[in-house]
Amino acid sequence: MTTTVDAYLAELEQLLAAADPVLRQELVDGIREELAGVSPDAADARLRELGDPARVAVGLLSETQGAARAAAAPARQEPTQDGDAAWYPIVTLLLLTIGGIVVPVIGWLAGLIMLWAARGWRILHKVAGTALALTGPLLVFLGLFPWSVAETSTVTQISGSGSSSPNPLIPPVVEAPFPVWLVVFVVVFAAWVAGWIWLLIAHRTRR
Amino acid sequence: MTARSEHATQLRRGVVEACILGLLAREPMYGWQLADKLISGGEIIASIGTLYPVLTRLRERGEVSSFHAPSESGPPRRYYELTAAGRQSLQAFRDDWGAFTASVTDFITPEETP
Repeated sequence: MTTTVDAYLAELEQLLAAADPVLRQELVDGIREELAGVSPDAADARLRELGDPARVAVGLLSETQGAARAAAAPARQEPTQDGDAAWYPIVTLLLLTIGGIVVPVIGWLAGLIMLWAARGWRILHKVAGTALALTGPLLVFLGLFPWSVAETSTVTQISGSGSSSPNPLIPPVVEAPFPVWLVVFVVVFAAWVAGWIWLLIAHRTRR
Repeated sequence: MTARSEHATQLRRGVVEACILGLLAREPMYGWQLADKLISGGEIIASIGTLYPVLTRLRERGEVSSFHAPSESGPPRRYYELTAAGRQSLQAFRDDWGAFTASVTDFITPEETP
């Protein structure tokens, strides 16, 4: 073993002080084995071929760090892979709200299936989502209620008065049920919208 | 040695394990021997320092094992050889490689102007 080889390996070990000791030793042993039985001149030539110890050390360290980064990358992506895609909650909520109007019954059922199949919502969210979806038809009823009352009152007015016909350009005036209906409708509708927003936020938080 | 471009570094990083498995499929080799072949045959690794972390990964995955054998000139050398899992992994890479390079060549080849 030549002094040059010893110096080279000592420098290499020093440069790799922070590296994994088993890995460092395997590299140093690998170089030592190659240079052990050769003449000093031949060993010098081999060391020149090997290059600066700093370059060898950087090779080991960068390869170790590169592999560690590559291993960490899929781990960081895991929560997304386990959860639903970004479009999933939006499509689900659209189906549950207007899906039944666009494609009667089927759109609404598809929304319910997606809601219960979602990985980003807990059981509480799924029950709430189902309740909100059922509230949809109630809102439609509340929305249509005053107009059905108005029609009835208009018909009564026409048959009762006989001579005077209502002007078709003037909308019929809804009397008693209107203010109560308006308050109930606004409150239920606001709660309904807030419920959907809460579900959307709950899903995004879990993703 | 000249500084490598980023894509060349990434390409070599992607194939270095397969190249080692391919070399060891021919015969068991010691570290210096492997490094010499990988550097002289296309600079697949930048230095012998790059080789050992890759060998460690392959050994941890059970694709490569090592043993000591006497050397003619000095102390016993540590040799690396392919395991059955390593052979399977190499074959899987071979299967992918042909289709992969064909696709990439197809994408990057300039279109012929009529």
